[in-house]
Amino acid sequence: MKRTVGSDEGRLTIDLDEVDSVEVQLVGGEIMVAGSAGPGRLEVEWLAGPPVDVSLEGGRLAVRQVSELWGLRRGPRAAVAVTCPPGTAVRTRSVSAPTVVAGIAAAVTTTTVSGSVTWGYVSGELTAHTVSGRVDMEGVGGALRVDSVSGPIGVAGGHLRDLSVLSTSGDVAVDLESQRGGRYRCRTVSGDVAIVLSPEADLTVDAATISGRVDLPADRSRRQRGCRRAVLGSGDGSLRVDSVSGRLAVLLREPVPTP
Amino acid sequence: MNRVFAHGGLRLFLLMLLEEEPRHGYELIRMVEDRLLGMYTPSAGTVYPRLSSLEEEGLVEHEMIDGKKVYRLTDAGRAELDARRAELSELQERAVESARLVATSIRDEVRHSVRGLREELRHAMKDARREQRWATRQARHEERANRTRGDDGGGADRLGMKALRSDLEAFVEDVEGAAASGSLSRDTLRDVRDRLLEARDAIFALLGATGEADQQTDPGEHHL
Repeated sequence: MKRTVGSDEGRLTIDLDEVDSVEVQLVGGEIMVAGSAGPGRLEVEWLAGPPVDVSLEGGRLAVRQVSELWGLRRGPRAAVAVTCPPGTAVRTRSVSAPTVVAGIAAAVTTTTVSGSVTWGYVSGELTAHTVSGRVDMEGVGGALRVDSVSGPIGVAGGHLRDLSVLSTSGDVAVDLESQRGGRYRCRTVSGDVAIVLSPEADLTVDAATISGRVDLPADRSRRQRGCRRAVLGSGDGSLRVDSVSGRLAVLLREPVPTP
Repeated sequence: MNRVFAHGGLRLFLLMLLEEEPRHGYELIRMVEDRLLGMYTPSAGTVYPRLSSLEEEGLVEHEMIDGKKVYRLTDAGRAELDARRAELSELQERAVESARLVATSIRDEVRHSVRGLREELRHAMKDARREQRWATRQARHEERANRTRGDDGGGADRLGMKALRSDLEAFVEDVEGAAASGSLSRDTLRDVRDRLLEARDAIFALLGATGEADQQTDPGEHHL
């Protein structure tokens, strides 16, 4: 099935009876993909620029609006919203369109230049790339990789066994409280890194910075620069944080006293 | 200009709203917006032609009240609505389950959580720094107390020492920053070191004997 949505049609809504992968590529506008138990559905709204191409073949849904004149101020724009089964692999690409992905348990990849990336309750092999867009995530699981140049990165809660964050100037805030162990790595140039861990974590924490400050738990040393190490619990898992000038802080979340 | 309604959905929705009571056009626009939780606001250019065509079909009629057209459902309109009741409930259900609505509420929730996390970390980092400073000060104080035991007045200039320490730290930061932004050749480095030694001598002269003592306070803390 192939359809196009341009200024004549304006919008298109189709039911997705069978879909196992979703690929959306836009310039501007917005992208939203949500996993749901109900039947799948695609909603496309053309807003500006060339028509949006929609194709659904063998369970692969592809929605694309591209232009050779990317980056023009009044560039192509479209709003695409998809509901699909949670097991659907999702791949999105945009220049400025913000992207929201929620409730997916499969491979998810989001690439954007300046659009924000928001993921909620997504797990699997996860990759997000952005240049200047902010990245906000909650309840993410599996293996996550996030690259950003200047966009700030925030990961609030989740159950990640593997995390790799790379940022140039964006600040990084990660909550790993629900994890006792795993392999985690955060690198920045000038962005600050702050990570919160459970007091019961079994992690060897290594922090290295050239000119930033370091705050590690259970570290009474007066020296707050250079390479530092803290062993928490059995120290089986590993957390490495590196920066050139960004401040590195690894903190333990004090348990809330129960009355 | 909406992705909530498909295949005459808005038409059916308008009939439903008119079944409740007669309304004028603007009121209908607001009602659609309210019922769909602000997810979709139809424009006047969408709603008025829709009402005209419903009138042509004989499903609604209007009367002028205070210069406004107030629309009401006709018997034919009520019959049409009854015939499509199932479609209507599906439409309402779908509107609420729209991917867009789900995604928007999740986005707000996620951003709220991340904001909360950043806030918490900011506070925790402040606490950690305070604790660290306290430990540093404590250690320094003990060292001083050992060194100047019997001198009395070990704690008298603590504030002064603190100010000096932060000045020194800022100095180090500034110099490191300046060195990082330019090129640091062997010759430049030697000149910088000479200047530092001169500055050190000048400061020692100001501080007198105390300066000599403080110099030994912290070997290796700053590699000036």
